[in-house]
Formats: sequence, structure tokens, C-alpha cells
Amino acid sequence: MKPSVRFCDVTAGMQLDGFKQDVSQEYIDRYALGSLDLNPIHIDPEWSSRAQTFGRPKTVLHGMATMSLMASVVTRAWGPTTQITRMKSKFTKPVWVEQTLSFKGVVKELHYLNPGHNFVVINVQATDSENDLVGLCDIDVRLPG
Amino acid sequence: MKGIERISHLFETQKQLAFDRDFLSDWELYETWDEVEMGRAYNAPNDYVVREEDLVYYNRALGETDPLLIDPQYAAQYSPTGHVIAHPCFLVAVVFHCLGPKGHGTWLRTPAARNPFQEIELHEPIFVGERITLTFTPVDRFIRRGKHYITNLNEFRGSANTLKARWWATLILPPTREEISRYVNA
Repeated sequence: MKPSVRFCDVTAGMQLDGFKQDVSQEYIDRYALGSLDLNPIHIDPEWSSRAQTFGRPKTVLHGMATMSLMASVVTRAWGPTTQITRMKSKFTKPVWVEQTLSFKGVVKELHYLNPGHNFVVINVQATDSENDLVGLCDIDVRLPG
Repeated sequence: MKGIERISHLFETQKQLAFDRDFLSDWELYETWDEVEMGRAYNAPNDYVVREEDLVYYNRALGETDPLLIDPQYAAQYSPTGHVIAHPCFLVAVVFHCLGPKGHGTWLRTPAARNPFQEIELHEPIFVGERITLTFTPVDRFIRRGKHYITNLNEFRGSANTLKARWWATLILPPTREEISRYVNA
């Protein structure tokens, strides 16, 4: 599998194309099925309304969906076979249903090891409709060249 | 209508149809924060045989549009593996399938659990046709600012016992069964 970007093509501060994702209840439902995480906080609006686990009477998107979309910033920009070797994420605010998430990524570090092992660290941030940070992720990507 | 009934029309894959899907029905059998034995490694009760439909569903659910991720016919011709490519976070589906609804590690299914942070190392991609096994070890349990955190180290191995990935999976849990019941019975 060869990524479309080479190590020598990348510079610190380089931006990766971001994207937006509307978080409808159907979007949450489908991710729940894809991940098999069928926790009622995600798929049961009535229960979520009563339990108010996160302080609002709404369902929330899976943290792992947010993390997946943060990884997708890299794979959509550089191709689905891009070799991600590590992801370290933190979630800073719940993503309630009917939010729109915005994702953006920037190359934070370049690690010069040797050909075949050089890698970059990309910092990806996700913000919600209120422009609050909901998640961030450092993603290590091994690149040829 | 309960959430699980509301989305029943969305079940498509073999694993989804066979999955023990109601997280509220057996919650009293889930391990709680105060019950977990730290440092002991467990083999998950189920293996995960990767089917192309599993990868396609996950990728489509995220909103991916690259044909290498969602189109088996295109992937058969152009993918380096001959199949659709697994998303780097597909491991989450492997974990929920492998753990099942009873026994050790079921705190992952706790209603009202929160996801604070995660760390995943990917050693090898996941391929269609592989049998993935999961070993998990509770490696940390702590209280920070009044919240109860717990971390499993999940290790995923492929058909030749090769290490595919390691995932330090952390959740914040209601600390006791009594506390969980308050949410369940809300």
C-alpha cells in the first residue's frame, strides 16, 4: 500500500483540507450499527431525554465517531491507504445531535528516522456548531521518501 | 419506541443481525468500575472474522465516498488488497463484537459511560477474510476530579498471531451498580 504523499513533500505547518459533517440522528444511528456501539445515549432519544447523561435531553455522537472522522481528515487528504501508525485523541465536549462538526488538520512535526520509517505528526481538531472544540487528535503517519 | 427498535430497519450485516443489541436489558451483568480486577489479561469470548460488508458498512456510516472504501467491485480491481480498505478506527467494531454482553470487559457497554480520551497504535492493516482475536487487560483505574476512569489495553492479533494493533481504551463510568441503575431506570 503506497500513500499518495511522500515525506519530502511535507512541511511543518502544512494544512490538510478539512471538511464538515452534519450530525443527524440517522448519522448517529448508522455509526452505532457500524461500530456495534448501541449504547442508549446514542440511539435512544427518549431515554436520553430522561437520563440527561451529558446535561442535556439529547442523544450524543459516539466519541469514536469523532475520532474516526479526525482520522478521516488524513485519509481523505492523502488517500485511504495512507499508513497511520498511531492516534492519540482527547474529547473536550459532548457532540449532541443536530450539531455540525468542522474538521481541520495541520502537520505539527516531522520525524527524520530513515527511509521507510520517517513519519509526520498531524494535529486534527474538531469544532461544533458553536465553534467550541469537541475533540483533538495527534495522528502519526509513516511516509515513504 | 425504544432506540433499538427504532433502528431495527438499519441492521444489514450478518454480525449486526446476530449481535446482542439491547445494552439496557442485561446491564446488571456488566462489570462495574469497582469490580474490575486490574492487571489480569483476558481472552475475549468471540473472534472477529472480517467480512467485506463489515468494512463497507463502517465506512459508509462515517460518510466516506472513496470507492476504495465503499465499493467492493471497484476495490476488487484497484485496491492493493483486492478488497475495500479498513478504516483506521474500525477496531471499535471488533471490540464490541468480541466482548459480547456478559463477563469481563462488559463495562464498555455501560449506559451513561463517557469517552474522555483514547490511544491506538496500528501495526498492520486489517484485511477481509482475517480472523481477529482480542486480548484485553485492565491496566489503570483512577479518580480524577471526582470522575471514575478505567483503561483497558486491547491487543488485536491476526490469523498468524501477528500483532495488528494495541488500543488503550479509556472510559469514565458511573462508579457503582446503584449509580448505573439511576441512569438505566431514568
